[in-house]
Amino acid sequence: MAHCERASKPLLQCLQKTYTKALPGLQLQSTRAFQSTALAREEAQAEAKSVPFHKAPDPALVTSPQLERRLLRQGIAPIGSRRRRAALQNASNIPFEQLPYQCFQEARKVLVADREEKLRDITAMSEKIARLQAVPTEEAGGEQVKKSKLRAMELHLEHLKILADINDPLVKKKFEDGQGDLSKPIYRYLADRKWREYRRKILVQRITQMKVIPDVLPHCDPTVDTKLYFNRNQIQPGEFVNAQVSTTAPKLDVQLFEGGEKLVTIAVVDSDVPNVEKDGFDFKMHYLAVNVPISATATKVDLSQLSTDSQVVLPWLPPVAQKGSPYHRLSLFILEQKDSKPLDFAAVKAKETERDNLLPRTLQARYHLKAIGAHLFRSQWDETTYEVMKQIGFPEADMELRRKRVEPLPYKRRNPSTFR
Amino acid sequence: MRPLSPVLASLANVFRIPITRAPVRPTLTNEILSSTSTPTSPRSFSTTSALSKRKESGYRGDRRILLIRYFLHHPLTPRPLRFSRTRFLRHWTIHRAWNLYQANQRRAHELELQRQWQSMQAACEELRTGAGDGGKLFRKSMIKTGVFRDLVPIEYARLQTEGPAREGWNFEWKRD
Amino acid sequence: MFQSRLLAPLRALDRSSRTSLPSAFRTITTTTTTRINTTTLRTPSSLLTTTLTKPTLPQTSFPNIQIRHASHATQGTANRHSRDPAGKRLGAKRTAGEYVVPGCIIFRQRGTKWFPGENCAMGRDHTIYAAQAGYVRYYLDPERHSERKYIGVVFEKDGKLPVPRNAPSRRKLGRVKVRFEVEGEEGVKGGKGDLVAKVGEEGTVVGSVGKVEIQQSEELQLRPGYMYREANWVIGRAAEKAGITAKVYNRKNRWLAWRKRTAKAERAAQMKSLKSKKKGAKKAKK
Repeated sequence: MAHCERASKPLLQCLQKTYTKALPGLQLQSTRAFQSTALAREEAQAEAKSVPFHKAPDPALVTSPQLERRLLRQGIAPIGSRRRRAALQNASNIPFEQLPYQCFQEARKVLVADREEKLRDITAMSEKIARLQAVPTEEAGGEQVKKSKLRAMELHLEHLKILADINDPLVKKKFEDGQGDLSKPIYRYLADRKWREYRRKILVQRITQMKVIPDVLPHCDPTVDTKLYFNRNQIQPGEFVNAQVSTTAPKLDVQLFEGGEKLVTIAVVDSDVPNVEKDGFDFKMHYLAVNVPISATATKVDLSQLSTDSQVVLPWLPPVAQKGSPYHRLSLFILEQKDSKPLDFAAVKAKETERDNLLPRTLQARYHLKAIGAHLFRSQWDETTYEVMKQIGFPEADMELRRKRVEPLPYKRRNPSTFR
Repeated sequence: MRPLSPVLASLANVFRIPITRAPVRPTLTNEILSSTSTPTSPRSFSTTSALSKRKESGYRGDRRILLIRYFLHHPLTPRPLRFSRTRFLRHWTIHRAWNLYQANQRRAHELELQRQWQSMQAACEELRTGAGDGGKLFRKSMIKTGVFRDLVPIEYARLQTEGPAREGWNFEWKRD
Repeated sequence: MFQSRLLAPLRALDRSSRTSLPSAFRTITTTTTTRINTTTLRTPSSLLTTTLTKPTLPQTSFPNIQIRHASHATQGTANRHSRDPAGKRLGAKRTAGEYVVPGCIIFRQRGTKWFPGENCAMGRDHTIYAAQAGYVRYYLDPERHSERKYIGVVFEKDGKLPVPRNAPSRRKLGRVKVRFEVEGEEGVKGGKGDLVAKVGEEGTVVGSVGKVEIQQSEELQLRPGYMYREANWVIGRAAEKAGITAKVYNRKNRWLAWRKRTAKAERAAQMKSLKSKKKGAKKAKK
């Protein structure tokens, strides 16, 4: 054990000192009343423990092989490397906020003062909103004026809530570690910003370059982050999906960046069904579900697990591309229902029975939907398609599409008198 | 301490860079420089390596990449700024606090200017309406002809800055 | 006339004197003697003396007498057209409203004077050609780009371009339905056929090997290269016959990949050293 302690000395200097299991004597001052109380809880645990170390070894601090083995027998794996654990043993476990750096402490003072000011603003603003709501409509200057005023004030309140927490290093750290609580506005704001930095750009590029946007819907401004999984494999927007893989309905991860719950309609459309008689393309609805609740914390939607008697209008139909047909774009749209009111499921089910040529534009107009999220995958003929076609009883499985010969223009000698 | 290669030593000598301590990352620079730039002892005046000197060796790699690598791993280049997690967070905290402080200062300045302007405007309004002479005094005071003309030329009424103006003296200017 | 005759040796002198001094001396002696003999005997002595004193002042040039009078037509740039290249036959090949088929060239240009719009594509030299059969349209599309001019193809004779940005694109399938043999059921059992190429007068024809040919392949035939040997595809199957199996490539097996890589590098180094040795030997012989 001595050798690893010696070796860990340089590591000690650069290791994180955020190890929050504080020494028993050290008192934590919780300056952040509005934050989650994780620190205080851990402190309480640390104080309650008075058992000697070798009796109840800590998986984050244990270094001797015997104790490690004992822990492993209990089913607890030691955390990190042995060298790291040894370094942590000797580290003075000062919490991040109390690190003794002068400039840092001065900066923290500024930030804490600013946060208190913002909190005062928040209470003032919410009181103001309450006062305006109490005022009768006639005195406030009409329905429209009052509404717009309230709306603007609420937006400002949301903005203030974000401003109060955005300068907190621990919030930043938690978000980067993926432990952010998305029920709080600050984490939702950070997640939204991160999504817009890269993933949304990719999505918008794919759906515009592959012409989903003018072909399937006239316009879409994605505001929810949508991830699509087939058998636990995430599909990037526009990826080709094997026919065998897409026989089962996908799972969705729909991340909403606003508070509250929303009811959405989920539709999967194939916009490239070849129609030889028409010499063109048809639409086909592969999946349609209404009244799906999503919120910032409940993001997982399994399309095969939705209830068939209150949500699923058209169950999943595996997409297949006929041999020789150009690739099929399977576009998934998350459509927000108006005012988050549930649609009448029985009426929708009675109306939308036909899969073929059920246009998303029609749906949008009929039920007042608004596209808030999109995703896209593609399918083409591959070695498993034929079997999938047999399974689902595709009518023309053994028909292939071949290029039609375009008659060449007749040879015409152009203006022979000018030829020399 | 590792002795510098002759080229580097002469460079350092020319630019008067004192080389008394060992370079910052001796191992890494050693490896990379020996492959690209450090000449071996018998050919001390040539900077090309033996392989690339031969005519038969075809593609010598991108020159820009070579130069970038050379300057990045040069022993005189300061090492890259790398922070541990907590140190980066501390740095970020200080940065945010400084930005906040500056923004507050700017805002206070703005508000002060606004206050001054508004109080001046209020005074003018008072002069126009409350003086009892039908606003004559106000109108007279608003006439700006001759302001700065007989005292200091208006061209000199620039914002006071730390340093002098870019062109020190306006020789073109003449009192008209 | 007289002057130009005289100037020739002077010019030669000047040229030679510029090159180097000793050679100048040599040439001067030769040229002066020959010129005096061949050209004129009535050379004024004053001029002759200048030629003879020339080598003492080798750097002097003749600013006032080195004028070319256009007594002959000069070479080359006599008329402007020799510098004017042939026309490249650029421009529109199809006008608006004309019927085109896929691949039909609509516009040839240097750079992108026109951009490909609906159902059109741009070639390697910025040539605009049709991607669908239809009627040519030349148009501007301010919603897409404020400046660019586009060439498009519409399917109907009276079709309009540009279409609004949110309108669904109009496409044609351009395919026919054909029944095809499903490989999955009987094809796999029969084993994949080998491909053979026959080089005939019409070009290379690629076909699959029939059962008869497989039996025939047992005996050797006269093959291209004037030798009796097995067919190429039989040689390709030699490992299969001998029952040699190769390891399935595994991307994650980095250990094997490293070993292969090092072996390859070693081999390369060995070959290189051999080569250099050979070269050294050659040099030594020389």
